[in-house]
Amino acid sequence: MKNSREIDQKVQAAFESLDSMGKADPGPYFATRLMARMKNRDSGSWDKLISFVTRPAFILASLVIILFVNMVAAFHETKKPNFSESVMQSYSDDYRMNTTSLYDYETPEP
Amino acid sequence: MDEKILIEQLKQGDESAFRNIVDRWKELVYNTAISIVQNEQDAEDLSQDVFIQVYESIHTFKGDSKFSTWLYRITVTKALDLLRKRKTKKRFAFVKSLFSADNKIIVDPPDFNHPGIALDKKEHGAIMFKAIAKLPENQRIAFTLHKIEGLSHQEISEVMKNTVAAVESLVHRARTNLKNILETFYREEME
Repeated sequence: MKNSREIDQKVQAAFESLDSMGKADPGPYFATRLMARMKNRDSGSWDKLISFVTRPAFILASLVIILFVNMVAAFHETKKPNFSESVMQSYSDDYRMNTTSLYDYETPEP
Repeated sequence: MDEKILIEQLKQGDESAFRNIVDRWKELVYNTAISIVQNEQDAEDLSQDVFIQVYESIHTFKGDSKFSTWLYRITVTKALDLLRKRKTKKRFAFVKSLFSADNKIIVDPPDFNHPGIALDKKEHGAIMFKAIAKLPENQRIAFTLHKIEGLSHQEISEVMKNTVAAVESLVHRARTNLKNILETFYREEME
């Protein structure tokens, strides 16, 4: 009984500790510190970009992407369609690819 | 200087208007921040973040609500973000400690003493803030804005984008929960 009354009083005191509370303020020169931080942010944007780009994780990720793109390109290269011999021959004839030199091509036939 | 004129000047990039705004509202932002995050250094950093956001996004302030309401909203959002980050960090540290060989014990932060509490009430005040820290987010914000910042239920509803009835309910539930937490604490202390 006594205990519960004591607990009630303590709970009441805890609630009352907030009643007459003053306001906390950030102390002197808050605006100066803020302005300095904002100026640092502005001048440091290039530095941030450089430090981001030179991070090992970024470099590693870039290398992985480049390797992947290369592998995909190589894979597609090997899957080029095979033309039949006759089609190749007709292309070759059409574009005169079987001429061995410029001289042969320009020499008129007898 | 009039609030509206200051805001208009800031929208035009006037640095002295920004300084005026900081000087006028720094106490509101800092007091709210420190009451929620319960750490002086975090409250300082958070207050700076709030004013940087004000500077960068003042053009989005249309004047539909009071400027102070907008400031409270930014402060509360940033404070909650910080609390969530802190919670994640704590969880990660706990998981890490399970797998580390040195068996480091995770230590809870020391009791927080709000600078605005009178010296003779510091002890009860510290216990009260410890109890507030155990409340769910919404109740914590509603109770802090009402009891510490002295906002009306109507003003809190504008900050939290909630109905007045919902805010009343949050404050009431916060009080009940705090009473239970404090009773348990004092009972355990007496045993």
